[in-house]
Amino acid sequence: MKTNNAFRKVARAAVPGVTFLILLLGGCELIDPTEVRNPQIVEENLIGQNLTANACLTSARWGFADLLDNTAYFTDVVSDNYDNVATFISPNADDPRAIRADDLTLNGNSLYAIAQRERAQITYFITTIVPADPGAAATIGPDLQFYRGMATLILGENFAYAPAEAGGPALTANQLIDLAIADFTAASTGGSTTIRQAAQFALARAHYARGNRTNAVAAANAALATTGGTTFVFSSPYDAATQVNTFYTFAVSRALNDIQPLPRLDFLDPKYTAQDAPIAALKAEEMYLILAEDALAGNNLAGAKTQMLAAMALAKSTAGGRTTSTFTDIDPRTGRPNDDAITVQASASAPAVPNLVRRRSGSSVPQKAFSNTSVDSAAINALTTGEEHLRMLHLLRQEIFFGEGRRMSDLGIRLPIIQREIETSPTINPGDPGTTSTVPSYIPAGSGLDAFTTAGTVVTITNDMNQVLAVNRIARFTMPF
Amino acid sequence: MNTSFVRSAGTLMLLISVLIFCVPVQAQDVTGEIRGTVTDSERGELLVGANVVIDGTTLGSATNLEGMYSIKGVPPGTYTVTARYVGYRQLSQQVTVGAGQTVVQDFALSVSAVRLSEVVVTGQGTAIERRKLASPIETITARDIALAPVTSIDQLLQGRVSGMVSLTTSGQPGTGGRIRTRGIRSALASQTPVIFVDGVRVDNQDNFRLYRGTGGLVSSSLADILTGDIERVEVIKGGAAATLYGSDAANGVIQIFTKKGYAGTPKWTFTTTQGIDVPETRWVREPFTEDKVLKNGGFESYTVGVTGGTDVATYNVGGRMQSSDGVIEKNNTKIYSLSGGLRSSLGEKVNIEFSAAYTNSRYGGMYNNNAIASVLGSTEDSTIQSTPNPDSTLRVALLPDLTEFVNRFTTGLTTRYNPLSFLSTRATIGLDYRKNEQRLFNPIEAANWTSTPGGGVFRFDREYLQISLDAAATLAYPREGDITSTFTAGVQGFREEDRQSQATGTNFPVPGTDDFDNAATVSAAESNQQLFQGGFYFQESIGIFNRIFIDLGFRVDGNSAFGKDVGLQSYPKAGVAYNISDEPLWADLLGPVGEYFTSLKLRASYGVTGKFPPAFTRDRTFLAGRFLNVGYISFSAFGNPDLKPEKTTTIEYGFDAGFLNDRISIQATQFFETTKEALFTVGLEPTTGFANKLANVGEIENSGFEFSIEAIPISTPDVDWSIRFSYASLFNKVVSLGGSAPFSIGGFAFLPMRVEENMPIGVFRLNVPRPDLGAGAYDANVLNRKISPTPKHTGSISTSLTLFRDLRITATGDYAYGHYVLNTGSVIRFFNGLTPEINRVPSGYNFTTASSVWVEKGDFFKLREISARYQVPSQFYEGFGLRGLAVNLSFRNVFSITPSKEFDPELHGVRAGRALDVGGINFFTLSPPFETRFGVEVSL
Repeated sequence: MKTNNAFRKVARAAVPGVTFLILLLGGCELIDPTEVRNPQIVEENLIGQNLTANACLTSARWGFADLLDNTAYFTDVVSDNYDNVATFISPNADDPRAIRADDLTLNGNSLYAIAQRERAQITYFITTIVPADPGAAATIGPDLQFYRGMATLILGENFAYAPAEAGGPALTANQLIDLAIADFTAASTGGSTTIRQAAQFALARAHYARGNRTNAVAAANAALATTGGTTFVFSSPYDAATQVNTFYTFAVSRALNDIQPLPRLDFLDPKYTAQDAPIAALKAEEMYLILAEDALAGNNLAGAKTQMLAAMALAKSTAGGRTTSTFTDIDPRTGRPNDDAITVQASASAPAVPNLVRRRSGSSVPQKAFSNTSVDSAAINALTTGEEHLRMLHLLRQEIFFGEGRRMSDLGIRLPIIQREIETSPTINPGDPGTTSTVPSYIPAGSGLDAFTTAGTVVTITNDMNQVLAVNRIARFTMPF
Repeated sequence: MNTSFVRSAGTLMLLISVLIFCVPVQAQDVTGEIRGTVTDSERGELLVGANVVIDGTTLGSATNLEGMYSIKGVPPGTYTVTARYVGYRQLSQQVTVGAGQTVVQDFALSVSAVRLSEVVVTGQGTAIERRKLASPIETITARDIALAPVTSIDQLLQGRVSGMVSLTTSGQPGTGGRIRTRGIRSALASQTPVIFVDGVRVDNQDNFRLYRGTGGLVSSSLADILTGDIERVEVIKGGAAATLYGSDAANGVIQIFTKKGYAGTPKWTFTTTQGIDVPETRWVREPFTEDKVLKNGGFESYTVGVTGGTDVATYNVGGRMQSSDGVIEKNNTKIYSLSGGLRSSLGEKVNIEFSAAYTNSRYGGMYNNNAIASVLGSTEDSTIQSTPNPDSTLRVALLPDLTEFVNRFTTGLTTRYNPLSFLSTRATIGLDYRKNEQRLFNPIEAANWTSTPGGGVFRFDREYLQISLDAAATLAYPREGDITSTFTAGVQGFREEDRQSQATGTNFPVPGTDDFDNAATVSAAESNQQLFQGGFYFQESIGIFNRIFIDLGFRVDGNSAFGKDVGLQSYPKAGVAYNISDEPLWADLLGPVGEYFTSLKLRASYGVTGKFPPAFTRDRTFLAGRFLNVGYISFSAFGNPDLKPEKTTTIEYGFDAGFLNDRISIQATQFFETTKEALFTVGLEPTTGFANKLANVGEIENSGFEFSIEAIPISTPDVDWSIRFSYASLFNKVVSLGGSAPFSIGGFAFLPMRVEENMPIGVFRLNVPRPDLGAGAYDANVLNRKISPTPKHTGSISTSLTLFRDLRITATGDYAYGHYVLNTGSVIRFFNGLTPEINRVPSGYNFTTASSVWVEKGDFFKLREISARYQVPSQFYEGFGLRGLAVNLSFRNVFSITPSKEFDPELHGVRAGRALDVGGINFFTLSPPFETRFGVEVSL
C-alpha cells in the first residue's frame, strides 16, 4: 500500500527528530520561554527584612508632603484665599455649595484619598512590616503614628464624616480627631525628638479642632514650653525632583494654570517661590492664637490682645526659619489688581488699606517664609469690642495660615465624602450624613467668597468673611459676648 | 496562572518545531513536468507571481519574472490544473502528463472584481480559498501597494480595507495611526490589531511606558513597519476568522507578507523619488503660525532592489534611503532600511522561506498641544505673539530638540514539509527586535521657555524583543469527492520582553552641551516587562459537494498575564459558507438572469476571541520611591489573582456576490459582537489605600454593517477602469459596568470622556447652558450617545484607471461621520482672552458651565492619494540595456471636505500611548502636509 509506505517514511523521519528532542529536553531550562519575573516589589520582599521600617517612615513623610500640598491648594481655592481663574481643577471649587461627592478634582488623587492612603499604609506598616523588621528603632512606630494622626486630623478638620478603615462606618469629625489625639499622645512620648515636640503642637491643634478648650490650652502651653517652642515650625519638606508641587504650579509658575489670591491677601502671594519650598503644618503662632481664643472665651480682651500681639510679632519675625527674601514675579495678573498704589477695602464699609497689593509683571516682591501678616500692633491695640477681637483673630489666622490649607475649615465649610468611597464602601450610601458638602448659611452664594470690585485704585472685597465669622460668633470655643 | 501548563505549552511547541525542522529530504520518483505561461486575456500581459496548482495535491508553482511557471515532480496521470491571480478569475484546465514528459499548458485569465478564488492563510491554520471562508478576510494586493505613495503600514491601511479605520493622529513624523477594526472592544487597551510579518508577531505599540509629557506626541512602532518590501497584506477584523489567535486577537489580525522574488535572471530596480511637502494651512488660526512656523519641506528617497532566482530558489533584496525636512522646524526624518526575502525548495516536499529586514530611522519631533515648550500651541494660542518681541521668543522656542532614533530588526524562517499528498506541515520561528531612544534636549538658552532651570536632557530608551513560534500540521483527507475534510492542529506562542529606561539630566553649568556627563543632576528610572503566551488549536473544515464548507475550530491558551487563580482559556468557533451559485440548479433557477448574476456565496459564523490583560497587573505590588534622596515604599497595584482576558463573541453573516461575469462584486456583512469580562478599572475603597484594581466586570457591545462594492466598468486592451466603494456602520455601547462606577478614559475635568452604561465608550460629558431656566443655569453632566468621538459611519472610495497598458492612475479617499471632537485649542484661546473664543461662551457662563460649546462635529472626507505611473514603452530605451523604465507622480493628503473650520477633525492631540485611544480631542496638532512626489524607476 502506498499509504503504508508513506507512513513508514514519516516514522523513519520522526526517529532522528525524537532522538534529537530527547537530547534537547535536558537543555529546556536554557530556552524556557514561559518564565516571567515581575521586577517590582511584592510583599515577600518586605516582611522580615532588616531596616524596611526606615522605608516605611520615609513613606509616611513622603505621603505627608503630598497630603499637605493637596490640602493646601484645594481648600484654599474653596475658601476666600484663592480664586480659580484658569486651571483644569474642578470649577466648582470656588463655589462650596456646588462641590458634590463626584467632584472631579476631589474624586481624583485629592486630599481625601491621600489622607486615607496615608492612614492605610501606616496602619499596614505598623501592623505588618515594622514588627517583623529585626533592626527597627523603637521610635519608628510612634513616629509613624504621628503621621497617621496628622492624616486623620486633616480628615477631621475638612470632612464632617469619614470612615477610618475599609468596610468601616463613617465616623464623625470628632471621632476622627479622637483617633488622631490617640496617635499624637503615643508619638509625644515614644517618638523621636522632633516628632515628640511636633506631637505636642499637634495635640493642641487637635484639641482645638475638637473644641476642647481645657485640653487645647494645656497642650498649647506645653508646646510653647518645649525647647524652642516659642518659635517652633514643623513643616514638610518637598522633594521637587520626585513630587509635583501643585500649589507651586498653580500659584507660582502659573504655567498654563492660574489661581489668584483675594486682593486683600495679594501681599502674601506667592508663598512658595521654590518648587521644594516646605509647607508648614504646625507653628508656634497657632499656640498663641489658641490662647488668644481661650482668653476671648474667658472675656479677657487684654489677655487676647497679648496673645495676638505675640502671634503677630512672631509671624513678622525671622525667628525659626521665617526668613525674608524677594521674588521676581512675572505673573501678568491679567484682570487682577496689579499696582502698589491700589488700596483695598475689606468690605464696602471698611477703610481702604494701602500696601496689600503689589506690582507684579516682572517686579520684585517681598516674600516671607512660613508666616506673615498685614496686622500691626496699633491695629491690635485699637481693638475695643469682643466682636472686633474675634474678627482680628480670624484675620490673623487667615493671613498666618495662608496657603496652608486651614482657612476652609475655619470658615466652617466641610467637604463631602468622595464618590469613590460612597460607591465602594459597604456601609456608606448616597444621602448618608457627610456625603454632601457642609456649608454654613453665612457663606455667600455662588463664588461670592472670591468676589471683589474695582473702582479706580480702590478694590472693594464684597464679603469681609472675618467680619462675617465674628458677627456669627464662629469660634472653636464658646464666645461670651 | 497555571504555570505548569505554560511550561508544557512551551515544551510542546519545542517538540513540534524540532520534528518539523528535522525532516529529511525525500528521494525522487520518475515524474513529469507541467509548464507554461499565465497572461491577462485582454492585454496579453504576462502575470508575474500567479499561482498554478494541481488540484487535490500539494504540487504547485508561481510564475516567474517572465510570467512562466513550472511544476516538476508530477507523478504520471491526468490532473486538473488551476491558475489564480489576484484580480482575475481562476481558470482550470485538464492536463495529462506521462513519466519523464514535459507538458506545456498556458493560462489566459480574465479580470474579475470577485476574489473568491484568492487564497488566504491568516488565521486558518492552512492556505484556503476565500470561497471556503465562513467569515471575511480582506486583502491588499501587490498591485494596490505598488502605487501607494505611503511609507508605513498605518498609511497603507487607510481607505484600503472595508470595515477598518486607520486615522492619522498627527502630521509629525514617527507617529502612528489609530487603527481600529469594527468596534471598540475594551475600555482599557489599545485597539490596534496584532500584526504579523511572514508569520512572525511584531511590535505594534505606542512606544513608552516611561514617558515625559511632550504634549500628547506619541511615537509608534507602526511608523517603522515600512511598505517597501510588502507583497500582500491580509486583514482579519476579529470574530471567527481570528479565533485561532486566542487571547491575542480581539482587535483583529494584520498579516504582512514580504516579497520573496520570482525565478528569472536578476532584475535590478533603482528608484529615485523627489518631492515637496506643503503645510496644510486650512485649519491654522493665526497668520503668525503660517508665516513664521510652517514652511515647505523637501523629500527625497532612493531605493535599490534585485530579484530573481531559479526554480529551486528565488530572492528579493532591497534597500532604501529616505529623507524629509517636514513642514515645521525640526520635523526632519531620515530612514535607512535593508530587507531580503528568500524562498527555496529543499527537494520536492520541503521548502523554506526566510526574510529579514533592518530599519534605522531618525525622527525629529516638536512638542504638541499646549505643553510647555510647544511652538505650534504657543503661536496658535497667541502666547508668543503677545510677548514684546515675538520673533525673538520664537527663536528661543525653537531651540529645544526632540529626536527619536529607532533600530529595528525583524526576521523569520518558515519551513514547510509536505510528506504526503494529504499531509502538510509548517513551522515558523522568528523575532522582532526594536530599540528606540527618544531624546529631549532643553538647552540653557531656552530654560525659561521650557521651565527647565539650567537646561536639561531627557532620554527614554525602549528595547523590545519578541520571539514567536507557530507550527501546524494539516491533514487533508479526503481532498476530493463529495465530502472533503481538512484538519489542522497547531501550536502558537510568543514571548515579549520590553525593557524601558529613562534618564534625566538637568542644570548644565554652561551652554553648548547635551551630554548627561555634564549635567549637575542626573536621575534614572526603569520599567521592565515580560510576557508569554502559548496555546494550541484544532480546526476542521468540511467541504460538502465542494459548495458548502463547514468550519469548526477550538483554541486553548495560557498567558503569563492571567491571574494566578485563572487556568487555561478556550475559544471556540464555527461557521458555514455556502457557494449557492455553484449549485447545478442555480443556472436553471435564474434562467437568463444567471448570465448577470454570476456568483453568490452566503456565509455565517460564530467565534470567540480574546485580549489578554497587561503584563504583571495580576500582582499586588509596592512602589519604591525616593523622597529627599531616601528610599521609601508605598502601595502600588492592588493586583487581582482572578484576572482573565477580555472575551469577545462575534456572530456575523453576509454574502459575497458577483455580477456581470464577475465584473461587479458586492460584499456585505452584518456583525454583532459582545465583549464580556471586559477589563474595567474598578474603584476601591479609599480606606484600602489603593485607588483601583483591574477586574473583568464589564460588558461592551458592538454591532454594525459592512458593505463594499467593486466594479470594473471598462476592461479593454486599451482602457481598464475599476472602482471600489465601501461603507461600514458601527453601534457601540457599554452594556454593563458590572457594578463598578462609571469612569473617565480621557478628556479633561471640565469635559471628560466617559465610560457609562448604555453609552458609547468615550461619550463626552457636557454641561449644556439653559438660559431659559435662569441666568447661568445649565444642565449638568449631560450624556448623549450621539455626542461621542467614535465615528458611526466610515468608508472609502478608490478608483484605478489604466490607459494603453502603460499609464495607470489611482485615487483613494476615505470618510468618517457621525462623531464629535472636543475643540480644546479654542478652550486655551478662551483662557488667553481671544475675542472669538470669549464670544463663544454665552454671557453669564464660564468655559465649564457652557462646556458643550467646545464640542463640534468631526465629519470628514479626505482624498488621501492620487498617483499616476507611466511605464515607458520599451522602444524608447531599447539599446540602453534597460529592462524597464517607469515614472511616478503622486499626491498625498490632497484635500478634505469637512464642516470643521478650526481643526483637522481626524487628528488627536492628547495621546497617552498604549492605552485605549478613542481620539476626539483636537489640540493644536500638526496636520499632515500636502505631499507631491515625482519618481523615476529604472530596471536592469
